[in-house]
Amino acid sequence: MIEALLNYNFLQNAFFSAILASIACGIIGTIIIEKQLVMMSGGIAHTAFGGIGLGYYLGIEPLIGALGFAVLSALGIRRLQHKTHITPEVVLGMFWALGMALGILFIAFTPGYPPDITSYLFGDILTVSRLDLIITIIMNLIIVGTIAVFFNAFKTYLFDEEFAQVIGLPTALLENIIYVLVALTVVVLIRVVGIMLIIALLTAPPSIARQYTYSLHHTMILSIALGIIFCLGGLWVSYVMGIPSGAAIIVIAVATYFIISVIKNPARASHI
Amino acid sequence: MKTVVELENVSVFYGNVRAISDISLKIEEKEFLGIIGPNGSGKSTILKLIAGLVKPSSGSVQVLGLPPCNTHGKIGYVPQRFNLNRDFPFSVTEAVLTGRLTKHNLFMHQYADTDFTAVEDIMHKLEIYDLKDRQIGQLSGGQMQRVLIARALVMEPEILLLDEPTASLDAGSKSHIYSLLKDINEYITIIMVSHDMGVVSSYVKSLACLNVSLFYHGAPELTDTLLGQVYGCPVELLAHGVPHRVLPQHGEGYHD
Ligand SMILES: Nc1ncnc2c1ncn2[C@@H]1O[C@H](COP(=O)(O)OP(=O)(O)O)[C@@H](O)[C@H]1O
Ligand SMILES: [Mg+2]
Repeated sequence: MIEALLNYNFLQNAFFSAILASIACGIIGTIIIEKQLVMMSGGIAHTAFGGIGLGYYLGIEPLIGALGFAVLSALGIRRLQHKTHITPEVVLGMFWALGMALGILFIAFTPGYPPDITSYLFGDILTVSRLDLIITIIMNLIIVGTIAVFFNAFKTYLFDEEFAQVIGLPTALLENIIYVLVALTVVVLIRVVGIMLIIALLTAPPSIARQYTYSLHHTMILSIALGIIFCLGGLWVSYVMGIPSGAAIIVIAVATYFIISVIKNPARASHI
Repeated sequence: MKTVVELENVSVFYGNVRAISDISLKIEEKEFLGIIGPNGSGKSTILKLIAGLVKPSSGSVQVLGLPPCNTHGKIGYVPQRFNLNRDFPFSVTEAVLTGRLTKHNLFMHQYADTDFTAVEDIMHKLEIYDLKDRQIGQLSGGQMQRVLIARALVMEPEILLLDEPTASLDAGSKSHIYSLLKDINEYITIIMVSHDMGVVSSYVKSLACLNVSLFYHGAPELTDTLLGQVYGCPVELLAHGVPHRVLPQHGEGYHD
């Protein structure tokens, strides 16, 4: 495999995108666990499918469409949850299904032979293109940069939103930023594990990591390391056995999570 | 004496629920004000108004001569309920440290050595220094309460707001906290909601009795009639400084 990695461009792309995806995933995954935005992230991911469809329909890069849909739906969901009396879960559920429905409609409207959408739904890290990689790098720079530069503000906000407000932190802005960063992370992960499987890769590494450390940045770093292990492991299994990479990554991640939770802390294994 | 908090004809509605109604209240610098009143009488709402967490539906609120949304860093707040994330990967030290953060230097912010020193000092004062490396989820209710008081004090605020700060403390810790507050009161204004009426009246300098409207604001001497009015039931008032008790046949509706 090492030799293949040196020789084949597609494997190099896969390798680097696995590492980049794990970085975004470790940082944002930790935040969504602490802020209980797991389902929210699932919703944004599925809504992004509308953007994939729109991309095909307009003949632009589907990931760019996904980026637009993910960011707008993240901000839209947040706004509706705050500014209306609709139950937040209902808002989320509606966006979730609407995004998928729009995606399918756009693809149906697209003239010609229907494109293969399974690589967006379930990921295919072996088909990551140079453009995908560039998008991933930009998203990562934004995510890592934002969190690193305002780390103490985010930390205070994630711990106690009310207190953050009392000391004058711009809590609404911080929340919006987190939602947008979740959207960017979703875009990074679509090629790696696919829309349907994103939630597991976002949550498994930090859920394991937080059983080993009581510090936020250690949780993030450990999550990144675990993400890299899961993604490269999945990539290897998928390359060697010729099975779908997204599914391989998720099975490894989730299995590891359950095994570690049961071994490490039987009493805590029942709740995340 | 300087007025540090001024409420003028303030009402607050949560949707249709009227939490407080037409309250006017002036609080002087270095006052130690105790606020008492039955459940749902708007005590927490008053503190949230002053902290800038709740906006008045009508009337005006001035804190240190400013609207409450401009007083950040000058107001320390210890909430009644812990709306915070107790599973957060944070040690006690880190939780208290967040009291040193201000909105002015968030960009690439690092805590300074002086921040750590201030945090250590305050943890010693509140007798939580032994817990400094403990994860915040592993604290008892009383320990957590002291951590939150420490976090508010380490801000070095001009006004300290405490919402039932001793509700989950044992008797010894209570009097320790109260005497600590009394010392701190030499420099800062303290506004405290409490149900320990007996204790409150022996530590505070003034008292406010609240039940949606403000029934009394003045020296900490209460009469039967007043408490009866506020709590809506006869209250047996014993000597000053001794806990007052609600008559047994009207036992409900007093405590949280
Ligand atoms: N966030 C809220 N939404 C709706 N009603 C609220 C909210 N907070 C408080 N209330 C209502 O306002 C009233 C006053 O509440 P509060 O200030 O918490 O009283 P206290 O602290 O004296 O028990 C109560 O009737 C309560 O039910
Ligand atoms: Mg209250």
